[in-house]
Amino acid sequence: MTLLPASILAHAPVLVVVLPLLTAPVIALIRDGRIAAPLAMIIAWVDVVIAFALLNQTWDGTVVSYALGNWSAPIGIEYRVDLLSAGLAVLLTVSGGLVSLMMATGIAPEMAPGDRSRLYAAFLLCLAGLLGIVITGDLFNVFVFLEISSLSTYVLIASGSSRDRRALTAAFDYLILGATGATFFVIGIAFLYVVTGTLNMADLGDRLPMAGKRAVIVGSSFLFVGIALKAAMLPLHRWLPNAYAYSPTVMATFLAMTATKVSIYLMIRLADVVFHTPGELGRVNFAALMPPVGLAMLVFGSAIAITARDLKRLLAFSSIANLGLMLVALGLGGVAGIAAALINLFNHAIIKGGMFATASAIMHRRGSTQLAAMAGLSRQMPAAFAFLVIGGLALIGVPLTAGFVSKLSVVRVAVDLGDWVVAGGILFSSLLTVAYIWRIFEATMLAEPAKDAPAGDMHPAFWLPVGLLGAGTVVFGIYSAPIVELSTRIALQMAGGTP
Amino acid sequence: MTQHELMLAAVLLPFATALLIIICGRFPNLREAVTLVGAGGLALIVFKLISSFDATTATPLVLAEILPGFRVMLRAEPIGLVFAGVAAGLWGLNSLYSIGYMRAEHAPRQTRFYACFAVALGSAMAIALAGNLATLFVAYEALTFATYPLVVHWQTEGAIAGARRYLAYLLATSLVPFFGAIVWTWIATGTLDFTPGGILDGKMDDGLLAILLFMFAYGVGKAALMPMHGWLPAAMVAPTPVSALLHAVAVVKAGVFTLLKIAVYIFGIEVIGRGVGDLLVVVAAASVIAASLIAMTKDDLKARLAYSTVAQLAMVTLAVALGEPIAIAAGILQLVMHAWGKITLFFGAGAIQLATHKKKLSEIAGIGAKVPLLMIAFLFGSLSVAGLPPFGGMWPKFLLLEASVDRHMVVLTVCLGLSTLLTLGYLVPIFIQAFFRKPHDEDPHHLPEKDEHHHEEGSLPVLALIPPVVTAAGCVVLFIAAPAILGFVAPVIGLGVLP
Repeated sequence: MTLLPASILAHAPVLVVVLPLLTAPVIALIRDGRIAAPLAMIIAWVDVVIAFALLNQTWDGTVVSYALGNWSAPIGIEYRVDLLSAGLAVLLTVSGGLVSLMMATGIAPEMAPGDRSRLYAAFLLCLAGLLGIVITGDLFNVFVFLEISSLSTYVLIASGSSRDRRALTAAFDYLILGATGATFFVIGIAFLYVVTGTLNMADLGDRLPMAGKRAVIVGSSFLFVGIALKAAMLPLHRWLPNAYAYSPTVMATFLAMTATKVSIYLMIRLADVVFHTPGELGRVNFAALMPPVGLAMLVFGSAIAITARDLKRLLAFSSIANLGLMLVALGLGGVAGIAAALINLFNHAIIKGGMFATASAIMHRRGSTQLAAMAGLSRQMPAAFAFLVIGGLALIGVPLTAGFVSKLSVVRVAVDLGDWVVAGGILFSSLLTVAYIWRIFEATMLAEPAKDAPAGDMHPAFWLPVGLLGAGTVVFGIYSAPIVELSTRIALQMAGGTP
Repeated sequence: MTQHELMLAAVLLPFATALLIIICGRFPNLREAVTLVGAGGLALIVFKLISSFDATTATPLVLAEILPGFRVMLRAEPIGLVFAGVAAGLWGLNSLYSIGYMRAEHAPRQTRFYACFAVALGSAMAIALAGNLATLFVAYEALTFATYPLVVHWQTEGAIAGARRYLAYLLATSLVPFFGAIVWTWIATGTLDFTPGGILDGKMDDGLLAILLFMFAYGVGKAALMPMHGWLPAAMVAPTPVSALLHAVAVVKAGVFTLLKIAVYIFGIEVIGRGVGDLLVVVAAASVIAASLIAMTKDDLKARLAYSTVAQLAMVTLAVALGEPIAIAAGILQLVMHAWGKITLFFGAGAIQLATHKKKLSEIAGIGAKVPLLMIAFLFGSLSVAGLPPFGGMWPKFLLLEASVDRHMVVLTVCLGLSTLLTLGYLVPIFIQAFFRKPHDEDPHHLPEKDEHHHEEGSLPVLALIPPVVTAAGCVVLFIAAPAILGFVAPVIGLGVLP
């Protein structure tokens, strides 16, 4: 089965990145948002089709290699798509596609009309950057795309400034920390390059065993810190809550679904392809670090979320907790651990995306996502409330939602390994989750509504993205096979790549 | 219909009813008709399931596979059918009572009330028909969430606080020890299916099994084993029909039913009997006595009944912990008898409140003359709960005594005798107060209190009077029907000759 004609399919790896990258400047030049938004939307959805074609191509384990400009690796830059890359590409493009559907409507209360097309351009650039990271097979190219996505993310965050000036400090915070992280990353690359003379990841993997031990330790440590910062790993998480809380809500949706996920991808990719040590980077055993740090993130993120007064902020801290869970799974290691991490990664994007998309709809209707301002939501916006309930239950990990599948898969690995501290920690943290989720429910269901609250449920533009993500949360909780199968296949391929 | 279709219908019908209730929300009479038709239909379906049950042809019905090996499946078996029969049989009566009660109280949000009630019943059916521990857990959690809106119904500050407590207890127990124990069992045995004779024998040593049994006993918070009983009195903030069906039948009985299932089909009765359950016997017996003593101190009728429930539930836990076929038989009968007895008492307490606006033991002096039929029904219920002939409640107490004598547990035998006395001690005063004391206003020693809550005299709607009378009569009928129930479950619990 092919989704695309062969001539296009042959260039799919590069098209999926280049298409949004090259369209972005064009869109920035179109002053009229009514043209720019649909165009961005079309590009995003074409990308979705290409990504699915790639997934289709790599499903059976095929690795697609594309030499950029016909310069073959390791001289030229190689784009290398395996199932892991394709899976992430699908996640990224689908997130982009869904966000693009509600982008034009959702941004309305948060940004002046004249600036909007530039926001759409930044959005496409960010998408292109993130896609580049997962598609490319060249380590330096990863850095380049990391910068593209980071720079455009700063713009996305700062765009929230017309609603709340604190968006500017949030963007500046992230700028400083993100630049630091990128510097660490590039220093790490430099160390590896010095001892091996190559930047192609597969090639690096071949040559590293012969390389000097100390340089690899230092280089991989730098790489790890750089990635950890982008992944908002404790204690480098500081940028994330403000970035999510003050960026325009639709863009926060996109960031929550994609930004940190790519860092998790990088950890898996580097550990596997470059260092041949699933769960470890180089000869430094970072895997041992992950369960304790991940558990700390679980507890810390959930605990702070309990105190949040704003829905977006609450969801942001919840994201830190969920990233913790992914890191725990990654740290537990093995095929089952990596599979569990990926199951969490996909499911969390769906769940949290659904929650943020609902928050966008609420923001659009009411102009605020403060918990206090959401009183009476259950009667005034019943559909939005229903999706908040679905997402909330999934975050708690209630059976028949995707969140349960995520949690169960990690707990199972932990119990299987006899790691009772981790298993117990994950279970206890779900109680904290209940506490913060219940704050949303009590605020929306039990509090008396304000008399002057704007009438009407979600704007129709939100129906499709919110509905699809909500449906995904439930469907993948009951019929989890697609995500579990994809994740397990990826994990098996990863393990197969290592002797 | 085949057995599979019947099982599916039993689980789905309540959910369909809930949907129809929401659709008919604007027309109260139609809405209540839907509830009654749903309840009647469910009773019919369950009756057909029971009458057509044949152990040799019962096959599982797999509905979904959440993770490989973690299946959602239904399977009819005698103990579950008994529970389903109790819950389905009482739903209709309780609905009649609800209609009388809620209308007399002019309660708000009645559509949500009836819809959640139906969903709770659907969850209870799924618990009853669950074919493995995974399914049971899924339905168990669904029941918790479905009943939350019922507990918080009045949405006063007290109700919100009580409902929070309700949720905190039930989720803390189910998400940590219960879920942990399930995953542990799963990893240790590779299956979660309910298998006659149990699946754990030989997979762990007895010390670990005892720990696992405790994890289940406290993990199933709905069984309200002290000190995890705090949610039950807290949940009494709910409207009385909720307390009646959910906290005398569906929710608490789902708890002890779960324990019975785990004892019979996961551990195996003999495994528990060889010493694994001994410590739990002590805890459960202590819970029986302590809760009975606390009940005596409660002036509020519903609080008194709540603690009585805690004591009576602990008897089922005790039966489970004894690990004898006779004891398990006693547990199953206690599940049935206590449900009918206690629902009579709750109906009575609610009806007293409707008729006289009085909620406390100290206030109800002399009301017997006003509502004689009701108070006689109340007496029947009391005697049945205490375990006197000719009421159904006698059988479980009798069998439990027999089991304790069999095991040569003298202290336990004394405890059981004491508990019957205590039960009489906290229930009969209600009847005495109502019939043999003069009302306060006629009592020269008692000055009438200046109470702003002094309403005009209430009236007792006939719909709130019929159900308690019927259930009280049911207690007598069950005295005769008990051997039939025993005969139905005897094969699966290895009970040879009926006592």
